Amino acid sequence: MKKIHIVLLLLVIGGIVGMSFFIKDLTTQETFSTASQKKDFVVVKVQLDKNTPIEYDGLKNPNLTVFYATDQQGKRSKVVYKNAKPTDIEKSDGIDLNGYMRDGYFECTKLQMKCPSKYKDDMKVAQKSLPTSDSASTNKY
Amino acid sequence: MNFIGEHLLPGQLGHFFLLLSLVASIGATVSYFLSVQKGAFYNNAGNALKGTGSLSVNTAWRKLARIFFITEAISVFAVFVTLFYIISNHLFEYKYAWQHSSLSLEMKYLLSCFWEGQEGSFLLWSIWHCVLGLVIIWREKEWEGPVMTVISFAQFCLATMLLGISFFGLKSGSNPFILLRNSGVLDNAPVFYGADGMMRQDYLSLIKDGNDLNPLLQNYWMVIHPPVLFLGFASTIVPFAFAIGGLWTKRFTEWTKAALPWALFSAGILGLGIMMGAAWAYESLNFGGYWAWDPVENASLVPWMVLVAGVHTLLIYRHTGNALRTTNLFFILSFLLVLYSTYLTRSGDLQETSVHAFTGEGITKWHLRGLLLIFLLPSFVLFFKRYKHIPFIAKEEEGSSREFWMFIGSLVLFLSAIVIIAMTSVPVFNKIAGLFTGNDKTFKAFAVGEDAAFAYNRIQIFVAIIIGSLTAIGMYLKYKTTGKPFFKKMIIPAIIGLVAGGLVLAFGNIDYREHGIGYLGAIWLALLASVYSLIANGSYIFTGQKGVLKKAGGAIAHVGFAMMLTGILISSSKKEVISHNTTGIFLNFGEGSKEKPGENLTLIKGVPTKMGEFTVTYDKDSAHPKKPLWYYRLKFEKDGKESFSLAPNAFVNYKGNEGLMANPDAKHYLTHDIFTYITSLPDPSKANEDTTSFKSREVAIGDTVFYSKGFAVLEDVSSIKNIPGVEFGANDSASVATIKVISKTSSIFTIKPTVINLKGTVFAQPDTVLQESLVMQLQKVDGKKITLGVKESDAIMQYVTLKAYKFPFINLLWLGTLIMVLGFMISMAWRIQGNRKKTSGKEKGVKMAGVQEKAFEV
Repeated sequence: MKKIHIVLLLLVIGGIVGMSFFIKDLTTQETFSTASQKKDFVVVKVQLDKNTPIEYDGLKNPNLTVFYATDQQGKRSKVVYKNAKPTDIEKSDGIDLNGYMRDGYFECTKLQMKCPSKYKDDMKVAQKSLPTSDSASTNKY
Repeated sequence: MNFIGEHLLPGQLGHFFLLLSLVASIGATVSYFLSVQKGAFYNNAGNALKGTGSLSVNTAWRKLARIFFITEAISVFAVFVTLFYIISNHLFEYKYAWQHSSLSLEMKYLLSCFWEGQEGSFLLWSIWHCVLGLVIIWREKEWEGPVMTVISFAQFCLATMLLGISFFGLKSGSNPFILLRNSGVLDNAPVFYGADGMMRQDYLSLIKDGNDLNPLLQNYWMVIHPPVLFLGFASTIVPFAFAIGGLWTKRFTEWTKAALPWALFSAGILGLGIMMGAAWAYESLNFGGYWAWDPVENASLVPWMVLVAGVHTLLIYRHTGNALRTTNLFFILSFLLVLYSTYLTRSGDLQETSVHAFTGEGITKWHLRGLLLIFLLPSFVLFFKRYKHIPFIAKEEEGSSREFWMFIGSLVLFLSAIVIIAMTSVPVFNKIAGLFTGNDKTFKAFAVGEDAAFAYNRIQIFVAIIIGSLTAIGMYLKYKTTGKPFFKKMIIPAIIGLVAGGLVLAFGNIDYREHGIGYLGAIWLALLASVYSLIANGSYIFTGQKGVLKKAGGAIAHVGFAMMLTGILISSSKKEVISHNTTGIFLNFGEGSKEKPGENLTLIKGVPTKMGEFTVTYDKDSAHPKKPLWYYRLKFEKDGKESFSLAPNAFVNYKGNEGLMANPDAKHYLTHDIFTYITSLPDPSKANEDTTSFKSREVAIGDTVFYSKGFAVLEDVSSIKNIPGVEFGANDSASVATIKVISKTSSIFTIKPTVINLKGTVFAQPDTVLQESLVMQLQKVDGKKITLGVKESDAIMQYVTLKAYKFPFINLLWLGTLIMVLGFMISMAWRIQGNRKKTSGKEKGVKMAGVQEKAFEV
């Protein structure tokens, strides 16, 4: 066996060890109900409940955002996010909540929003800037 | 039907040139292919001619191919000019102009509009291919045929991306010249249609303005970063094409000489492009840094790493005849990884994990996957078919030789790249796994664990240690074998380097314990290695290359790289949140609470607030004259000596959407940056000027203070010793007053203004009753008596909530990048010069021939 083969072997082993740490830390996508059984760090795909206002007051506590969300099975839960209210959360089409299910609420440590406006080609948002039939009928243009 | 006000000519011209470029690229591909196939590059039995004589091609076909390619280049330029004309003249009848630009956009950002869309960025890529192709036709006479076959074919593939025509239900690309009225955007807006259901002839008069450029892209880096990055991406095809050309024509070794400067160019430019992207992220994104291991970033980093590995193995081959097979593999993979990255970032398959992955609209997923496969399959087949014929040296390299350690370094880079791309591809694996498990939901999609950045960092830190050490030592080794005198040269820089690294560790106060002592140890090792590498390569320029800079490209690039590594390690491990929230509910934590203080701090207008070592006042704000862009001036003061203002800005309620898009601002010092951005704001449309100031009153416990809408009772004053994020010295103290506010409407609020005495300076942290527009400030505490500042404001409270960081030594990263790129370019120039000498004078021809002879010993 050549020296280079030994080195290669060591590197590959190193790589595998590194990757196995990564794989060990991989989590799964859960729903609120399965997350409460798991107690581990999980990812839950949810939709913001737009009927309940988002609680955030930068003066009182700039590091606390509370909102409600429904998961893919339609279960609704309170979500506590100890950070400033994410920009554009109202506009999100969906949110990936990262965190832990606690008693009665989901403690979110990181969230990833899917926002139509973030994606450049989304026409729904773009259409908003077009005149609507109301404004046109008043002959503003 | 004719519509009023439309300019149809530019679109027709543009579309004509798109089609012409498609046809011309097919022509160029076929003719270049035939020029090589019909030339005499190997004998009839199919055996390679043994590295003698130059590659002869069929000149008639080549002539035709050149005409085709030049036509192609002209067409692509014409398309570019036409599209830019449409954007810069605000012809909103075209969807592209409407979607990506607006009347208020500054001239410089019109270029950014161009590459905001998928079509524009593919066009940019295509243009760079044309430029590179023309240079190859001009300079690389011998390898023009095979290399240009590959490039012309890539041009054909890119042209299909811009076609916008459907075949058998599959849409091929997206035409940038599509009219707004044909794009479907207007279909759901009845206002554009008359009573008869037909589009109104004057529909265009209703469209006053375009959709504008994404505010995040309205940054000067976005004018320059995409062209440079795409030049980097585009140029990876050149080493790839050389390698493929070598395999194809069975001239396995001859291409290496011509390919080396190209590979160096590509590595330099791609590196520069990536780091410009990092600079943009640092300056205009809010993830608090320049690098977040985001898929889009990884996708550009990985091809670069493989390319750099390829450059090193190519150098090994050029000097010793080893590692030719690996070089082929690395160059092929780096281009394929560019294509894979294009698929990852543009197909929308990564939407869920990336902050800024792009959608799959416009250019479809199958098309991007197809683009990858159409290059992947033939090049792999060719590589494995010819693998056995690629010359190699059976004899083992010496342990003291430069090539041995260079090869290991390349392998480490390569494996590290594979690990990164595998980690980035988790959503792709999910997708593939989902295909097999179908709809029965047995498969639970995977997601990256709690700390994604750490998942990458803890692997890459070891790569940093190895690469840092190897680059430090490598230059002092000689090819083939290193004798004792050379080892001696290594000793002094090693001592100086390690001492310097030790000093950085001793006085740098690198104490990053978030991930345990083991990880901190790894950071120390990596830092030691990178400082050592910095010094070792720096001194090699003078000892090894005698200070002749034009020869020292390699050492200079390594100096830059080591400097980058040092900058990355210091700035990341010493990055500090200075906007720790020490007010509000966080005061209520019990002794020894492990709760992390919040990272957002609210500043009330005109009220100085303590932030890290600064006292910050939100001073005033101003608006952009044409856009809903607001600048918030924050005055930073330190010990009364130092004072500066930062103006982070934010788009507020941009285009009728609630919310804000914030851009950070930073104060650059030589040794660190203070970096801040807005995270939250009250709605500025409701705010008005607040002119009132605090009125001071002396109050004892139990006393009542009246204000216009009610009264307040001082309930308690107590001293506290535990404020998260604040370290108390022996003479420091903090007091908190508990005040009950009872309003006329008999609502009761409790507020807790605080005063902190820190190193002789007094910081008052006021508390507020938002509903009452009441602010109370604890100004002085004297036993159980206090001085209380009361402020009432008619205005709704104006405030900003922000995050602020201190980034130490970030400048090392930027400077290192420049030096590294400079090194690549110097190296490239040196190699080009060398190649020219060899072809004209044949002075060194003997030496090269020797290497090639060796290469064929097999």
